[in-house]
Amino acid sequence: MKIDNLSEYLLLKNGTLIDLDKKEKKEVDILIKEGSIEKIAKGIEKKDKFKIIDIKGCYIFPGLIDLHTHLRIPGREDEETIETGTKAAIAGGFTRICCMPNTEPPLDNESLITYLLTENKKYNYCNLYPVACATKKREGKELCDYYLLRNAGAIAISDDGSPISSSQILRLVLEYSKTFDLPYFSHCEDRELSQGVINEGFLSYKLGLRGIPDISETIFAFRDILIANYVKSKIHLCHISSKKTIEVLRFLKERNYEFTCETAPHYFTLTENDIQNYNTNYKVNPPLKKEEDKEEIKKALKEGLIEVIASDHAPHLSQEKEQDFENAPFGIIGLETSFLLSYEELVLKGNLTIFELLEKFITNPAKILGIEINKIKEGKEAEMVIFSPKEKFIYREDKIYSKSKNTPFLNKEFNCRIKTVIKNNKIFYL
Amino acid sequence: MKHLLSVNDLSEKDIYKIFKYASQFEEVLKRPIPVIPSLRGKTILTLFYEPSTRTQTSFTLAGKRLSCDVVNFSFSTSSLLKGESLLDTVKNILKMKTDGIIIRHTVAGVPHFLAYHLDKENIFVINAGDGTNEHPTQALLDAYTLYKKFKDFKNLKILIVGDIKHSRVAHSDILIFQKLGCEVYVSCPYSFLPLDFEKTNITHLLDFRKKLDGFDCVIALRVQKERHNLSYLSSIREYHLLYGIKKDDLNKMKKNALLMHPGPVNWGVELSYDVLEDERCVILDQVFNGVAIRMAVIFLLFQEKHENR
Repeated sequence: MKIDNLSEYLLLKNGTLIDLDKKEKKEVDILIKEGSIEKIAKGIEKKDKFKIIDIKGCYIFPGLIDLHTHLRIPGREDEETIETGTKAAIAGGFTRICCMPNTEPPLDNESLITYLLTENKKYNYCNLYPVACATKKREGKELCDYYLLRNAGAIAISDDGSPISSSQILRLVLEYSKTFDLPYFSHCEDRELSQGVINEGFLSYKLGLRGIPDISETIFAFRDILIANYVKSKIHLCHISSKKTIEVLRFLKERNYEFTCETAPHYFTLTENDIQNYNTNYKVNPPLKKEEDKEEIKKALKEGLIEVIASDHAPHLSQEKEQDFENAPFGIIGLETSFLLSYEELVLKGNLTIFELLEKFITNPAKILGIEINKIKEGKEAEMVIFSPKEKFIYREDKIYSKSKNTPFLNKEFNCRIKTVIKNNKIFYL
Repeated sequence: MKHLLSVNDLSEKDIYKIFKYASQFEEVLKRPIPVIPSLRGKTILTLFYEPSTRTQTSFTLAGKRLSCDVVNFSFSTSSLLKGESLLDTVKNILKMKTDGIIIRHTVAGVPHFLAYHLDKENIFVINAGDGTNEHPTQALLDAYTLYKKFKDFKNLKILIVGDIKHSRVAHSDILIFQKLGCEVYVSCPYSFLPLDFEKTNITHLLDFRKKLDGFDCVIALRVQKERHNLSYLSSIREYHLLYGIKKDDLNKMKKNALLMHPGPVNWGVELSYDVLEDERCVILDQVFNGVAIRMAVIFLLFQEKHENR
């Protein structure tokens, strides 16, 4: 990745601007002056001091937002660092990422939030929004200091990686977080029910692996939404993966229950049948499901029931991942492939329009976090992605920016790619 | 008023009558020998199912200043906790031939239960705190403290800070101040706010500090460490930062405003140490007023009893 500071004048010629407000594509030139968008028009005249990039055939849209990155910092800098993690984000088109608190030690006090933000400033590739723990040590017992955490820069709270098993503690978490207007990101899993490693069913029997019932997610999704709505607090459900959960979510949405939810690309591109030879790069939590679940997720994305696609980027050392299926950790990296997979699976196959897809990567996550995005408008800060919807790209190991390489999409050939990202007065060439 | 179970038992007229008597009894309390013989030969029983020193002592003193015999059944010495049912208690009280009882219990509604059964025997019941329900004499003494300062309740703005959901003091205070025509505000995290609280028409402030200059009285509630666990809060540190009243807060308040607390104070939690010296902090005046108010309540209940006979 080549990273340059933006020159005084940068002219992007002949790009196709994706206007998310008007839902239209238009071919324009964009002139960026000192990091801000100076002019958007057709045929902007070149001048001597302009640096010019011809981006004919490429889409331009605002930077993507990831609601669900495991940055592994602090504690597992052998798996990911701020530098590699935020570079991987940029490589995937994300200019803003939320990092999850299941670190070692967990993000349950304000000094760790401050540490993360200070460290990120050293590189300043993308914006970091730490999600703080909902309970101390993520034990589901005592509330964290949300006021202090919010003041340090936490954007939401979650015990992600674990559910809050006690309904009473969850209620208090939601009431206390409402006080500070912090959304709760729910990891929906009934831990007593989900003692397994892959989706429970005939396949888990065939492979002889312990199964996780799909209803484990459904039960907690239902419970968590009910509790959040009872105390009128904000809830967002992470990585929804099953048809049954979606059916319950649809039932609740029709009855005006308030919640938002996300899925991850592997839940609408892979199924449990892709688990070949006990390949642990298909071991994720929640586990991959069946074809019908995959189709239901696509349907829910189309309906708008699932508003967000998040990476659930979960780096692991190959030494840890390359072992027996029982003991290997859950999770795959996803920052660099999330948008490409989604574009191919959803837009190229006609399930979503590019505008609908970008809502799930930009507008909706921003709404959930309560942050403003830099739209591509004159006067705004330049924060954008230049994306080729045609160029071939093979995701080889040497192209991976994440420090970990645990992905089932290794060597996959994509028919689209992220070309260039502009953020924080820098231009990143991929 | 045959019993005092709830602030709702009191009309506005009753409240002012209690204040009138309290003010007369204050004179008694200031005498070298602060006793009058009004209730000589009468007996009241205090039944405290929950540990309390100040309220029980305050009631005991109030009775004794009126020359009433006061017999204390307290938490640690009582056999009542050893499996005796409430109905057994009623039967015992009847046999003991007392005139009235003062009860504190961990469960809401116990004073009402006793009153229901003792009513026909012409024995009055005073609620000295029932669970998370009410504490009417505390509300009376809080209102009386305010009355002595302002003489009028109309247009007074009162802020109650703390655990609104579990505090019987807050519950009774809200009832009495609304009855007397004050504008009541509360401030607390949502975990301390009762569900559907908006139905009370009381404004809930998440951050009271911006509006501190508008209040005539701020009441800080005790963080009830013993009544329910601390899981409603993240930490004492964060609670004190957000909802603890400090010298800086007093500086923003009106010159003639009052700072009250039902006691006992958790210093460094709901109040910081530096507010004690401020003349607007009237916590000890509340204790003194409490005796006078309780004398008035006991006296008036006896008067009522006499009229009923």
